[in-house]
Amino acid sequence: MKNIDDEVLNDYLDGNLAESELVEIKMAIESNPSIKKRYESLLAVHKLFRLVEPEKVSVDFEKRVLQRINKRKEIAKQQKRFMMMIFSFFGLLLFSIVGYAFTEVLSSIKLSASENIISTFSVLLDDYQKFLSNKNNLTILGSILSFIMLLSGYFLFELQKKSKRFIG
Amino acid sequence: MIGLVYMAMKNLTDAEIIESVKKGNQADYSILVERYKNKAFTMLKRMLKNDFEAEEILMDAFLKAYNNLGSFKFESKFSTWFYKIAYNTALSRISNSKRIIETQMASIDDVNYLESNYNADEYVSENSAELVQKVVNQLPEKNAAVITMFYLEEMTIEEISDVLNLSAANVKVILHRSRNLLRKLIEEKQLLREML
Repeated sequence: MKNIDDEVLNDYLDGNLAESELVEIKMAIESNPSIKKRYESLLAVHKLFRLVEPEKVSVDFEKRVLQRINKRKEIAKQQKRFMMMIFSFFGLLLFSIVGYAFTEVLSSIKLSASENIISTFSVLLDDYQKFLSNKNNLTILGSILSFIMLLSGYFLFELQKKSKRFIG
Repeated sequence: MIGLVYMAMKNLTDAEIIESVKKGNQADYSILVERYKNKAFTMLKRMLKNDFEAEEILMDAFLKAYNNLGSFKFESKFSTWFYKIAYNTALSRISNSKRIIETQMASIDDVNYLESNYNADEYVSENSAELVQKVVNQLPEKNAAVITMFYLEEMTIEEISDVLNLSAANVKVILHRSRNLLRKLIEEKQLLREML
């Protein structure tokens, strides 16, 4: 007969033994008072653990979970709107800058009837490039863009922080 | 009418509710929340030893589960999947609050840890139900989680091992040691005769 220690008795209690072992342990429990006592004490503990009732969470818990989910959705929408706003703004800004540069260049060129369209266009591009490569113009442009990027980065970070709090 | 619909919804299986939530019926998620909140809260409270923190982690776990519901492929039961999220979230919290240092002492290899931490004299005035409650509440987080899932959620050893990311043998050892500890306390209090 195998040594019937607490591990074996626990396995017997949980039904984790093979059929032949189950019979063997059952016989040992019935015939040996010491094993019987150990088994009964484990069985009592097993029953006690079963008696423990679950703890109760606060009453409006489901409501609060749904509120958090809704809040998270709202924030996700806000983030989307914010990103759209930023992209539209940058798009518009870029369009304005290009438009402004274009009109500046155009107004500085005097079109003559003798010039053909290709040479006019190459002059136009050249002037446009000069405008953009002008150190002062570029600095102003860069500063504006950096400021806007910093500002939008800050707001984006704040939104992310807020959403993280709700998403968990 | 709404009450009847709600009652009918309550009888749905987890999988049916999840499908409904995935289809956009967000409110149905509250049925899942209601189904698991108390048992999961019990496990978390026993792990964290704090009501407020347990409720906070439970909320996080339900939100994480909701956010990842799309990736839930029904390969396991929802309860197993959800308990895994709740258990890992609680572990991160414990680890963040540095409590892991103390509880690491209670690794399953440390045979004497559990017994040395409990003194039967402390429980002299308790009845058996209170004693069990008190012992379970003071178990190290892994033991508390195993006991809760095994007895309250009636999970199998294999399911628990999946949640805890431990081998089934280790889960069995944790379960048996928790049982042996309670038995020792009961025997010291001589409550056994009353219970049998």
